[in-house]
Amino acid sequence: MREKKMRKKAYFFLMDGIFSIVILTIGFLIISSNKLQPGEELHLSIAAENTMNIFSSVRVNELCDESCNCSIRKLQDYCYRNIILNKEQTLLDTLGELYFRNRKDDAGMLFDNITSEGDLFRKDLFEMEFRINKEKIYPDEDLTQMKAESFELISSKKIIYGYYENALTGQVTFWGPYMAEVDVWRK
Amino acid sequence: MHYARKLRCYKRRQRIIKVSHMRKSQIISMDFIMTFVIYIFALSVFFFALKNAFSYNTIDLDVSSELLFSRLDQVYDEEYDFFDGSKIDKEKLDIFLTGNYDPEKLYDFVFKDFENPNMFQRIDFCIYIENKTADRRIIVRNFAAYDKEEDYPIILAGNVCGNEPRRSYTNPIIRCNSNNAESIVLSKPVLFGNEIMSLKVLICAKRR
Repeated sequence: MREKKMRKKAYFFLMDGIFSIVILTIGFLIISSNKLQPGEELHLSIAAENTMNIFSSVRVNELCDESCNCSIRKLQDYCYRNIILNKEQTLLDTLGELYFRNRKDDAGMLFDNITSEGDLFRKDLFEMEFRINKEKIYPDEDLTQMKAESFELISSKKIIYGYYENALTGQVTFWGPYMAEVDVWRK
Repeated sequence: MHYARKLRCYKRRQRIIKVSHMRKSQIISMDFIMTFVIYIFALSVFFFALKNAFSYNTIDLDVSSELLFSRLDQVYDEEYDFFDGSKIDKEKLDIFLTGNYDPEKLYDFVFKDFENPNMFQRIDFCIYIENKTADRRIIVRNFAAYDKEEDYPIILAGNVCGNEPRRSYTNPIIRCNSNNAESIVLSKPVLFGNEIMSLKVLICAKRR
């Protein structure tokens, strides 16, 4: 009888040990699944900075010649159709000007075309949103939910302002300043 | 007589109880030992796993993209200064490539700081400009930077990188020609001519 009782006790000790292993293993699995991704934030930051740098440093007349032959399809189209009025300004300023002239869809399409043809970021890995004065310009679809669920999001901002001239009247119109913002996060 | 029998009986009972107590304590101590061993084992596994969980992967080749491109941007020798922020001066680069550009000098100017002699015997660089379209990628310029010319390991479409710097390659394979090497590609969008392309640097590091 006593021996049976002792065996029962030993069984409980063993069970304690097994439970502890199970608990520790679960803990380990949880920690492993949350393993930090080295450089993740850095990649996003580089994607955001690279995009902002290209847009804010490359001027329209560096991509298009006098006769509106441009290396970016959409830019060429806008240049021919006189949608772009100031070719001296940067791509980012051009987007700002289109925003000012209430051509937000054109600005969104131009941003999309430049990032695609210029291969500015990995669209298979990252999502990008471009906003001017907190108004979404790119992309068309609503990514609010996806953006809210992303673990890391990097934002790059720049103040933009500029002017354009009416070729017929010579009237100069100043626009801005606006806040241009690129948000990048992993898909 | 009766008393002697009683005493014998008492002694026997005492012996049985003693043996029983000994066995009981033996079982308990065995249980303690077993539990202790299992706990120690589980704790070791836990801390070992924890250490691995928070240690980054074991790639030793860690070159900062921002730092590398900013070094390329800040070369003080006029001949080697073809890169400016996010623009490459095409004419200047072509003059640089058709002239007697020196991969060892370029290495000294830009890449020497990225050496890691504790981990790697040598680190070699292939710098190229890539134009990617929807269906193909074309390398329009390529040139090399190394510390020692012998055994330079980077192969671009069967050629040694930098041998024909102005030749165009369509969908080429570019690789390190060494088994014991780590490699990474760093990329930055740049304006080249009137097009936006990617300035890429393939880094091959031969392990010790």
